[in-house]
Amino acid sequence: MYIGAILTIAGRPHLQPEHLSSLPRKRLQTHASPSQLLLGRAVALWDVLGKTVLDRTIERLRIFGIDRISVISENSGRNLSNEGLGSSLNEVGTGQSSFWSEWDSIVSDYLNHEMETLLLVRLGSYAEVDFSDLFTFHRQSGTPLTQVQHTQGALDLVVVDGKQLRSGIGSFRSRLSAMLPERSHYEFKGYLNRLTRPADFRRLVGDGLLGRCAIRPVGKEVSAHVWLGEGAYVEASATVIGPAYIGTNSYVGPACTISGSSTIERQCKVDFGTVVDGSCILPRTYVGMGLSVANAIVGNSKVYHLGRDVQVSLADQRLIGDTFRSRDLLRSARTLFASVLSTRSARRASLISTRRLDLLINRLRRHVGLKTAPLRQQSPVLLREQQDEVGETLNDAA
Amino acid sequence: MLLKLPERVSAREARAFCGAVSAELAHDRPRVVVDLSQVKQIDSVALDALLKCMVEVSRRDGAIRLASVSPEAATVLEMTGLDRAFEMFPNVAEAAASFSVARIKAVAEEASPQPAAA
Repeated sequence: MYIGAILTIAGRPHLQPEHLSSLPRKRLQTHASPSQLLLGRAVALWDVLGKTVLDRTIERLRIFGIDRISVISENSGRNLSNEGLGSSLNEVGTGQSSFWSEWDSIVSDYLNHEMETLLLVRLGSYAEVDFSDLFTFHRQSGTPLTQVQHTQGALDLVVVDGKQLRSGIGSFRSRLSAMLPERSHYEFKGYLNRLTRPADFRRLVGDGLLGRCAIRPVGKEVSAHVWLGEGAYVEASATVIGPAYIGTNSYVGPACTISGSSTIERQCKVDFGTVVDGSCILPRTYVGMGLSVANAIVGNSKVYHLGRDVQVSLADQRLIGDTFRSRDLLRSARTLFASVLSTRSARRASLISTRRLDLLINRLRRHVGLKTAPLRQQSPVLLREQQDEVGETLNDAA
Repeated sequence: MLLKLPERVSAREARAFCGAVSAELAHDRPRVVVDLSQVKQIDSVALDALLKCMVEVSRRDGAIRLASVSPEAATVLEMTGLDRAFEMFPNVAEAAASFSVARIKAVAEEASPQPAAA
């Protein structure tokens, strides 16, 4: 069976216009559509014990045998190529207005490539669905559409026949809508976390640490229930009380204490004497000296206190900040663009080559932890695209 | 003295706060209540200023009490350990009343000094 998967990264809750209200997404959701952002970013894109929910889902799909996977974001302006995804994915970052047209074009592309079956997933929730069992059920049910149903409600996870979808009229979204009355429900009783609130995210991390779900920490178990990612370093005078996870290239400073099922994700720095208890420190976060972080999720220069159910912005490098920001690199890139590319004459004269720009883009991409791209041939059109690309990367890095 | 901090407290607001507290330092036993009900964002410079003011006020035998601490401010104070440095009250009235109680206690202690240990 030739199967393609389209994963949608859930973001802000949408207020759909009246004329769109009968379309699939609205109908498929039997529960309210809450915001699925955590500290300003899609929850599926935050690391859980070393790997994002998105990456873990893709991994499971690939193990099942699905190679054709597209990822599309509901969030406006987010380019998923900057989110650390595998380069073989068909990645689309869209604004909310163009989301459905992008979605339609991906479906169209899949159907043109003779896909027999499509798996449509909205992440969102983390669900450990047995894909083999799901596709067997779908085949045997004989219906064009199968939706996964849990005791907590329906999931945004459907299997649809490519042939049926191809034969309808109108947009693929409306064709999918037309199939809804005939859909069958696949009863799913496995592990599910809706990830609708920050507390759900924290619970997912805890469940992974305690082996209550299939999520396993990325790293080595160095002592009972203490995992260290590659290149992680804990000072001798620091105390780590398991279960705990210290991610790849993270650093725990002298006299620090990590306790209460806490996780420090990749490229973090916990500075001298700080206590982290019952908390998640999200990737690339700097936690300042002598702090006491308890019952919280920290990242993106924000702190979410789970007990108080409140989010605090801390644009203060002395308290909470980013570890990956390299002011020198950003400054040099900005200077380069300000001085060389801002004038029309400079652009005409092509004072800066495509190759030089590609090198800079690759430096930036390496810096934010992404794969580098091969160098391209000189072209004025490409040069303009590259300017935009560097601009976006700079914005993401800043 | 009652000081109400705005939604965002950074260096500029901290300077204004310190200026207001400095005026109060002229009095004997300065008593300051800081209303944090509006505070959504507070940075380390403002926290430093708050701490410095507390030290100055304490030197003059006075005290700073925090009142109506917003959840956001409470989170930052807890994270930095300043929740242990300041006395916090659910509202301004209780914070102000605490000074009177403290004053009455101090007067009572002066009136009936503890007997010296044998």
